[in-house]
Amino acid sequence: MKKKQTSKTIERKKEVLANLTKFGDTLYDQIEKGTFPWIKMPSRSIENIYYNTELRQYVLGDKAVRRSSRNIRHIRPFTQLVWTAFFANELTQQRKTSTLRDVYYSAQAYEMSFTDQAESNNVITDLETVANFAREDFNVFPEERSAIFGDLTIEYTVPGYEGKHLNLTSHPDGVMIGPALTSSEFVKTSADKVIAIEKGGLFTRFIEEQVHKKYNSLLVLTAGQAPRATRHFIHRLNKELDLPVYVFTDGDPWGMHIAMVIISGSANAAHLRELTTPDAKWSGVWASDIVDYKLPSDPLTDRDVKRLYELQKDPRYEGPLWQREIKTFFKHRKKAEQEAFSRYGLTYIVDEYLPAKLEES
Amino acid sequence: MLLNKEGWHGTIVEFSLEGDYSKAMPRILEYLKQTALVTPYANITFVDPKGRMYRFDRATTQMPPPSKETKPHPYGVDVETIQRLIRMTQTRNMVDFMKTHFHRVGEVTAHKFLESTGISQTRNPRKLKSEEIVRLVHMMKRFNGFLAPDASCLSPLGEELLKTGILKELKPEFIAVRQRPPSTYSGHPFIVEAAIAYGGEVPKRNDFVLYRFANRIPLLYDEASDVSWRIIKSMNWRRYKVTPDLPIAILVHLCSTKIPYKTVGKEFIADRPEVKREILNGIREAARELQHFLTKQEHVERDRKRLSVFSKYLPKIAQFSTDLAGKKKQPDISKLLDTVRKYEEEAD
Repeated sequence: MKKKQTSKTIERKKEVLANLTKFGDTLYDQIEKGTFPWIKMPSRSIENIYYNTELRQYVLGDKAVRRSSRNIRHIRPFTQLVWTAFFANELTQQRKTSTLRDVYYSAQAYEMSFTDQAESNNVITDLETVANFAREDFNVFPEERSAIFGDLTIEYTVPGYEGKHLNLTSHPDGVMIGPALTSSEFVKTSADKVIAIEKGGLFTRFIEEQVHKKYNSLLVLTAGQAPRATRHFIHRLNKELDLPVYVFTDGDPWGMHIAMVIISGSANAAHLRELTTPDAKWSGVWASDIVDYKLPSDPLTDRDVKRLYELQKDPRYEGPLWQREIKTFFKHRKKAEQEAFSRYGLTYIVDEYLPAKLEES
Repeated sequence: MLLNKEGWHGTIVEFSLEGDYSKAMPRILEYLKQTALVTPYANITFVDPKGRMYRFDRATTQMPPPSKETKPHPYGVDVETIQRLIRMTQTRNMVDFMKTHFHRVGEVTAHKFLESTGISQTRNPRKLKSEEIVRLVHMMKRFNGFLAPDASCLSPLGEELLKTGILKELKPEFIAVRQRPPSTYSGHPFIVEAAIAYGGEVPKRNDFVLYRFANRIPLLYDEASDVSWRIIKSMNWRRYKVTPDLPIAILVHLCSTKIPYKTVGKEFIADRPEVKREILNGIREAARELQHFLTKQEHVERDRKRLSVFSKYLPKIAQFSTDLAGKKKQPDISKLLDTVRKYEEEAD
């Protein structure tokens, strides 16, 4: 595989900085002209979130909100937004990274304290909406817990590591999908697919069982609901390297939704693009697998059933596979974890189930 | 005999009474304090049994005009009063009797009234039989032709003096004083004076502090049974922007030739509709002034806060956007702050 678009991540950073400067310019000019600085941005309220069947993800509609510093109720969040832009600008320029928690505390150094983490997170989302970039582009990352393993060579762009290469098989626990990996360039890979796995135990099993070699694949651990950086990373693997993506989760409504968020994204990120992988496949554990493979199972709880009803009406779940599996869940009222395959021995899932499922999807 | 080196003149009253001072002390001090409230022209010095001296200094030398002596209004007299008048009267016929001994009764009124009683105008009052006296009193209450009593016999404090007294004792932030026009109940003239004081040294009790006076005498006991307390409790104070946590004192002074006490203890005033209405109106008028004050205070406070919020955040917006734009000189925010100030003045 050849290296593509060498400067993609660097180009992107330039764009981010240009956008932030433009934002600053606008406010500066407004003050110079004697008007209270204001901005207009798409509304993120639930009435303005639509499912776009073409993009196969949620998008924001035409409704816009105007935030003006003239308004006594807006001026504080407005200032916080400007500060966050300023802080993101500093981070990006100095090529440093920060976490959401870090942003919350850093604000205090500028006497810009947020009431709580939620307020600070919300302002960061505002900045994403205004600047049209994800917080990861501003070098603000959530706490990471997901990882990748497999034959992919990357080239770092972070300070101190520029130009250095790393093969993602170098550590048997996998490599954390953190800021450095997220901003790296892809150099080459021998893999022809990506397998995303919900749980750490199974991820380790797959590595031990050499799944990456046997099935020529990159293994991604989502560790529950995949963080946005990981979703973007999977998106890149799919788009830049043309690798098909298969997602393995627990066989319950929550696992199903982990796969769905990787595929079609979430309503919370309707203002962002490039976090989804519409062509990714949910490969299991399906409700029908529980029956077909006679897996040890637990009955669905009331909460599970309630969640299923919600998902049944969700536009993302319109496809026949999804509707069929939801019905199967309803019919048998059972759920099973990925580990349930261990009843047939430790390697069964890799030797029997996995090839069958890859075939099927 | 007292020596009078300073050449004092006036009246000295001396009396002694026995009581449990340690138990009564708070009430006695309260009584003196309240007396000082409505007698701002008096110096009061009190040396208590433990030798502690309390002083309430006068804040003015102005006194309210002394009240004028008055004759009883026919509507308010009883059989006993008539009998007493008959014993002392010099008059020889009923017309003269009515004109001489009753308030606001002239020739015409006397004629009309006597006609309604069936007692001859020429009857000698001294010769009236007891059943005739009873009928006379009875008809006095029923006859509609009497003029209302006039209030010149009453001695209200007046708005100025009341204000002086309250300012002196409570040093409030705000005060509203109202004297109602004279009115009558059962032939007795009365005047209600009401005041509301807010803030300053008004005690905080999480409820209103009520000071009640009857002819300038503080009423200390049985507050909850008093008509004023009931009126206060029945009012919708939210309308006046008043919440229970505010330090508010309400003063009600009732002046009358006959205070409608409910009990012989003379501790609280009864619910006479005429009196009740006047007290209510007096408190309402004062409350309305308080409302204006509180509203304005709220506006001033809000504007102060607004300005402080804008002065806190606008410089930061200017600073951060200058940095973002990569410029050196910060934009001038003083124009923007000026517009915030302008709003402040408009509100005043």
